[in-house]
Amino acid sequence: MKHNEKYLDALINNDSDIILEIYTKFYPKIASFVLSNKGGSEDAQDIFQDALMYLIYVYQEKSIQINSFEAYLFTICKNNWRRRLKDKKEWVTKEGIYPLADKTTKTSLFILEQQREELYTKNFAKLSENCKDVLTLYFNTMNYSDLLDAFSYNSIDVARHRVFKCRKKLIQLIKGDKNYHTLKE
Amino acid sequence: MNSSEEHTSQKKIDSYLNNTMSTSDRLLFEKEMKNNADLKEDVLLQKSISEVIFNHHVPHIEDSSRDQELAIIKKTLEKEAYQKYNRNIEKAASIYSGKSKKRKFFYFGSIAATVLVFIAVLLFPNEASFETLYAEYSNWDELTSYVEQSESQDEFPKGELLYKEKKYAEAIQFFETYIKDTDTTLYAAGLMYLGASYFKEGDYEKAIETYDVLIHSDSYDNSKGYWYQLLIYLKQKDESKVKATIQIILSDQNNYKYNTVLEMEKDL
Repeated sequence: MKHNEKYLDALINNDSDIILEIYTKFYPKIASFVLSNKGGSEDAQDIFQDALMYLIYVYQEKSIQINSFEAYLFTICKNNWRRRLKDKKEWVTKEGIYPLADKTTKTSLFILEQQREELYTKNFAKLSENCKDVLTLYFNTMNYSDLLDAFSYNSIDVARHRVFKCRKKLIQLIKGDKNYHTLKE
Repeated sequence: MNSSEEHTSQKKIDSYLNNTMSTSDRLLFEKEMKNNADLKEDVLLQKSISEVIFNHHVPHIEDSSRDQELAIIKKTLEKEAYQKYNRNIEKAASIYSGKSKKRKFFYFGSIAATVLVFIAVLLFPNEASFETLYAEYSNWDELTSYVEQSESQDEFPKGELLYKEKKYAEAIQFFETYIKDTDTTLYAAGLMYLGASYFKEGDYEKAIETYDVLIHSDSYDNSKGYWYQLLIYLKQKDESKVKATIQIILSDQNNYKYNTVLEMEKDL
């Protein structure tokens, strides 16, 4: 049995020794990442547990194939921690907007956002290198004139047209992905 | 929609998402979205992409499809199976965190032994009581005798005798073979004696494994597996596993030694 399946099956079949092995092998790396990025050990534990629940969810409900359990687990944890940091910042500036949610709601929200992130990044990666650069620069600056210098376009209209084309392509790819419809069902 | 209309529509979406629309235009645009499901889908998708890939903060827009998705996921997570997965993960986290604390503790192993003992008393006040509890409750020598109950052609008494004569290695050999015949009425008893023999030989890992088999069997006596595992964890002074196993036993009043474990928990 492949390692990936071994770990996923253990999570589903409650093989306590293997689940403990998952902690022993992978948790220290996640904890070290969270602790060195403004987090505490409780955050690390929370992030890690959410990631394991996410893996169970997509394995059970979406039958996904995982190439590397470790790499995937680490990416999920990193994404979740980045999002939480962003939310924390927004809580500070917009206190009161976000109601306190119970643990299941928080985990559900994380699963939803992680699924969307995977859908978008997977399709973003399918764009041409030029489109990726154009969109990244545009969304970072929200300014067409910055694209003139970077890509030697003749006019704002050309830059605007290029952003329009690339964005349209990305939207088409996402809408054409079978997971987009699963997410919407 | 032709290309020029598409451009115009995109401009509107941009200014709506970037919050640069005038209030009246905004109200008009929101009205348009209400009547045009495709437009609303595009706006929500672009908002989501902008937030997720490019990390932008976009003003809140009512999104019923997102709320529905969230409700579906939440409903799935509330199912008993998922609640169980969650409990299993939490249990592993608690065992891991206990072990990890102990590992950190033993990192300072080079410090003089007397200091270690002193710290151990401070950090693990339960260890002394684990020893007391183990001494008080361990019942390895009181395993049920099946000599009278077994059928005349059954070999079981031979193994039981080996165990009672403290010939544990031979008992292990006997019961390993015995339990392969899972049709026997004394299958669970065989596992109990096999686990006990491993324990007496000092192979705690194998003993725990054997009791896991008993726990997962459909035997009427399967909860005895938890009790013997608890004794082993007490012997090993494994605080987190002792606590976790106590919780398992106390989760069902029909479990073997439920009342004893209730008393034990109070002592801890």
